[in-house]
Amino acid sequence: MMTSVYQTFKHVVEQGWLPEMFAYEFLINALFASLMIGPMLGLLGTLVVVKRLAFLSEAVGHSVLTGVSIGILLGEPVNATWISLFSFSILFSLLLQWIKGRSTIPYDALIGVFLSFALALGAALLLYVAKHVNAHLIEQVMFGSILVSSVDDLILLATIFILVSWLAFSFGNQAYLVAISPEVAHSQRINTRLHDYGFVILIALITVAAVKIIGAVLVGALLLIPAASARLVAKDLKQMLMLSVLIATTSSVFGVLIPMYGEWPVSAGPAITLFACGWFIMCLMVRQLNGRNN
Amino acid sequence: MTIPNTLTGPSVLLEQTSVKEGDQQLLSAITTEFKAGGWHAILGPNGGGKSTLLKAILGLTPHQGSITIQWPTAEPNTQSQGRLGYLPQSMPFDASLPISVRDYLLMSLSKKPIWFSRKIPVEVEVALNQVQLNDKLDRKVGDLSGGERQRLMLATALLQAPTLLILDEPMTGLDQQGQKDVLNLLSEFNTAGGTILMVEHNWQIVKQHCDQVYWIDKGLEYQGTPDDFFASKVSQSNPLQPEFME
Repeated sequence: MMTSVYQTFKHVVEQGWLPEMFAYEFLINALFASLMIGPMLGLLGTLVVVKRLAFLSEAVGHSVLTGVSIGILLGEPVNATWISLFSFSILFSLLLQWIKGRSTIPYDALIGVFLSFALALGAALLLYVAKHVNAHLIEQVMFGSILVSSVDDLILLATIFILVSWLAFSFGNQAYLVAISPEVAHSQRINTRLHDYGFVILIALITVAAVKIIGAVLVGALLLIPAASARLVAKDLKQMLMLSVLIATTSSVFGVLIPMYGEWPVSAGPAITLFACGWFIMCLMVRQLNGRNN
Repeated sequence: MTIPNTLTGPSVLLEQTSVKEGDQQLLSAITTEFKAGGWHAILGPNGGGKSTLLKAILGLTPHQGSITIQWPTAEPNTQSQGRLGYLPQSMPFDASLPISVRDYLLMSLSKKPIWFSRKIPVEVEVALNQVQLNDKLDRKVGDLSGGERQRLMLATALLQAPTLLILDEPMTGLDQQGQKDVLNLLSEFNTAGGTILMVEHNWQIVKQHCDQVYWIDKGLEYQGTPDDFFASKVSQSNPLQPEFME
């Protein structure tokens, strides 16, 4: 299927309707990946902002460093350490949630401890495995790359995309009620604990799925910035959600395409994050202007 | 709000129920029954454990002993079987979030995703009319006045078609007319047979409407009818009474 997509893009490039870069298969893969990553991060980001869990996504993002290193140490293919990545990130998230439910430590402090642990362990292991692999791998894991998305990665992303869409359509309203008012949700017989565990597992899944494009260091930013920007100007939850998805998707797509088009030596992760920050500044200005006019 | 003519509210049984947080005993062992179909007032000093008791009954706070909500079994109208409505003490979320009245109602009452279906069902519109919020559907919840928020939360709780209402200071922020409207709704619910557990500071309201009073001060200190309670030593020795009786 992807072969015919590549052929179509090549044909369009030959006709002169698209720049030459669209003839590269890796770019088409990265484009499709960003079109799936953007909406997922934008959607889940609204829950991250409503629940005030910005640092959770950062912590899970950093756990990816450890997951990659463990995968390489266990002999998984360097560019596809999926089993270790998913296993470690999901275990990490579940452990965090489990301890949260069984201790009186404030959640932000607990996340801070986990974040530091994930970063320290990941950095230590990554520096150790760096001796055995190409040094560029470290850069890719940290900051993402558009060069490494394969068709298998796209299939994995599409599977997670379908799962997230199904969950959003089936349990979206409940998830928002649990996020804003767990007590009221509990009184309506919604299983708030299941929602909380489901939420951290989804964060882990999406983070791992997005890490190849955005990188472990900045994937948390795309869970936070689009939703935080949308919150500044939205009048209701629907607007916030739509705007967050729009910002995350356009940032992902522009972050992949623009540096390539301009031949800028910038990794995809930083470029995507900078575009998202641009949106944040715009939303901030719109809010300021609206505030003055009102 | 269309409250059914007949409801079969549950009773709530507490047996040696206590709540501890770390080394601190928030509530010592309570054994009592909140009778089915009654309007029960929970009174007590600030920090005495009234809200903690409600949260324990709701299953939100771990407790020792047992709490049993005895839902009636042979209920002919099973639509509202085993449902409860809860009104928390304060607005349960960050007021600066862009969550409109419509959003809050839809996420509580509709299964269709809020970003798809924005239409409010007719019965919800009727309910909003009764609590005078029908023209505020697209207003942010955070921009509503305290009384309006309280009415929204109560309307949402009642729209769950409950047979048990657990209310933590439902009159907070309401003006006289607002209190009257809310009390009319609660009276209708209770007359139909619904059970109400209500933390309330306004003793006039308790006197006029409630069947039983429970004085909670780190434990159950007194239980009786409002008339007996206001004649009791517990009530008379409470320095807060004159202020609230005005």
